[in-house]
Amino acid sequence: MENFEDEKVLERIERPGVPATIEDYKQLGECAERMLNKVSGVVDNITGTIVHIKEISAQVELETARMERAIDALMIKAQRDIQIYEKSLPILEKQFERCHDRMDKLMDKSMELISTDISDNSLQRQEAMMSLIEITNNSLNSLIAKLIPQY
Amino acid sequence: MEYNQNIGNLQEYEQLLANVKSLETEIMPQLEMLGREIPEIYKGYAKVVKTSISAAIDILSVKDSTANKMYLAAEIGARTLEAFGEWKAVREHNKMLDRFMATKRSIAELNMSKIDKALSESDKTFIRVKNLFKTVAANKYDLRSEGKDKIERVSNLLLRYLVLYRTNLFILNLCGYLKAEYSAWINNRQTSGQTRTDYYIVNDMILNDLFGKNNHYNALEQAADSDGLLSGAQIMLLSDPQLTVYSLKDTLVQIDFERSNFPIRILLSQNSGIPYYLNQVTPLLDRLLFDPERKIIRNAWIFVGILVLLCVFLVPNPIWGLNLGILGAIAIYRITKSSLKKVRITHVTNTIEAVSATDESIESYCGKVYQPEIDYTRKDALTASLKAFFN
Repeated sequence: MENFEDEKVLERIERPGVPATIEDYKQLGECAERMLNKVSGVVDNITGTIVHIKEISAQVELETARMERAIDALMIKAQRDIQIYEKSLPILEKQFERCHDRMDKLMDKSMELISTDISDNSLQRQEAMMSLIEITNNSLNSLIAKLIPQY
Repeated sequence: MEYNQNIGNLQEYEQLLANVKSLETEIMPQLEMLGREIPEIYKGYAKVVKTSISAAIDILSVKDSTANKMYLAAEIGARTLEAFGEWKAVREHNKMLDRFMATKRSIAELNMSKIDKALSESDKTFIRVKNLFKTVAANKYDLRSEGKDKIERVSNLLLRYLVLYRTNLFILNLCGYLKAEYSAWINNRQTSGQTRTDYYIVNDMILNDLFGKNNHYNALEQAADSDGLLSGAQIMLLSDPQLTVYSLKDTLVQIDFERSNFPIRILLSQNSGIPYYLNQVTPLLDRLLFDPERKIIRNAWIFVGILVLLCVFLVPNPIWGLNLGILGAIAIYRITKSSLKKVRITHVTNTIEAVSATDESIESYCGKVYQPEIDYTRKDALTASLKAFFN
C-alpha cells in the first residue's frame, strides 16, 4: 500500500507542465524516509544475524579445539601412566604377594573363630581379627585401585 | 545418603567409579552440542538470504509473479543452506567420534595388561572373602536371651563382614566391567553394552545369593517374625540399611515391627534404613489412598439436595419447580462429570510422578548411580541433510 502511494507521489511530481507543490515534496520526503527506515531495519536484522553467526562459529571452533586437546592429553597421560606402571610392576608384585600371604593367614585364623559362641571373649577375638583383615584388605584394594585407569 | 558406621572405604571406591571413564562422559555431551551448534550457523545464513530477498521484494516493489519466483528461490536457497549445515554437522560429529574411537582403542591396548592384573588380583581377594562371608552368613546366632549391648555388638560385627564382602564384590565387578569395555574398544566398538556396576547392583547380587531371587521381602518378613535364633544372613538383612530398604522397595508396605520379639526390635532400632523408608513411603501411600472423586461426588449430592429444597419450598408453581429441578439436575450432572474427568487425569499424573520420585529416591539410597545415556552411533549425513531440506 505504501509503495502504491509512493508511486502516486512520484507520478504527481513528474507530471509535465504541472509544478509540484510543497505538499508533494513533503510527501516525497516522507517516502524517502520510509524507504530508508525499511533499508536500515533490514540491515540491522542482517547485521544482528551475522554477529550471532560469528559468535556461534567462534564457540564451535573453541569447543572443537578443546575436545582435540582433551583427547591428545588423554593419550599422553595414558602413555605416561603405562610407563610408570611398567617401572613399578616388580614392586607392585611384591606388595601384592605380601598382602595376599597375610590375608591367607588372617582368613584361616578367622574361619576357625566363627562359631555359635557369642561370648564376650569370642566376639573380642573375632573383632580383633576383623580389624586386621580390614587393614590388609584396604591395602590390597588400594593397590588394585592404582591399576584401574581413571579415564 | 546415610550409611551404617562401618563403611570402610565405601566412599573412596564410589569416587573411583565416578572417575572411571570420566573423559567419555565429558567429551560425548560436547560432541552432541557441536552437532546442534553447527546447523545453527547455517540456519543463520539461511535467515540472511530470506531476509535480504524479502526486503528486496518490498523495496523494489516488484510485480507479484516476479515476487513469487523470488520467494521460491529464497526458500530453496535457505533450505539448501540448512541442509548443508546438517550435513557438515554430521560429518564433524562422525569425524570426532572416529578420532575418539581411535584414542579409546589405543588406551585399551595400552591398559589391557593393567586391567587383567587388577581383575586377577581382585578375584584372588574376593574368593577368600567370599568363603569367610558365606561361613558367617550360614552360622547361627542365638540372641533370644541376650541383652541390648550384646545384640548390638553381634550386629556390628556381622555388618563388618558384610561391608568387607560388598566392597570386594564391587571392585571385582568394576574390573570385570572395564575389561569388557576395553575388549570392545580394541574391537572398534564404542561400548561393550554392559551395565556399569554400582552398589545397587551389588546389593541385588548379595540378596539373591543369600535368599534367592525375588525372595527378598519374604526373607525380611521371616527374619522379622523370628524369635531371635537367627542366621548371620538374617542379622545382616535386619541391620544393614541398604539391604533392608532394597528388600522393601516396590512393596509399599508400611512396616511395623513393634510386635516383633525383643532381639528383632533391637536390631531394627539401630537400622537407619527403616525411618528413611517410612519417610518415603508414608506420604506416597497417603496420596495413593486419597480419592479425590469421592469429595466431588459428595458435593454434587449436596447441590442436588439444595436444589430439591429450593424447588419444593421456594418455587410456588409445581410445574415450574419440576422444570427448574430437571434443568438444575442436568447442569449439576454435566459439571460433575467434567470435574471428575479433570481431577482423575491430574490425580493419575501426580501419582505416577510421586511413585517415580519415590522409586528414584529409594534406588539412590540403595546405591544406584544414574548414568547419562550416551549415543555412540555414527549419523547418516545424507539422511540428516535431506530431512533438513524437506522439513
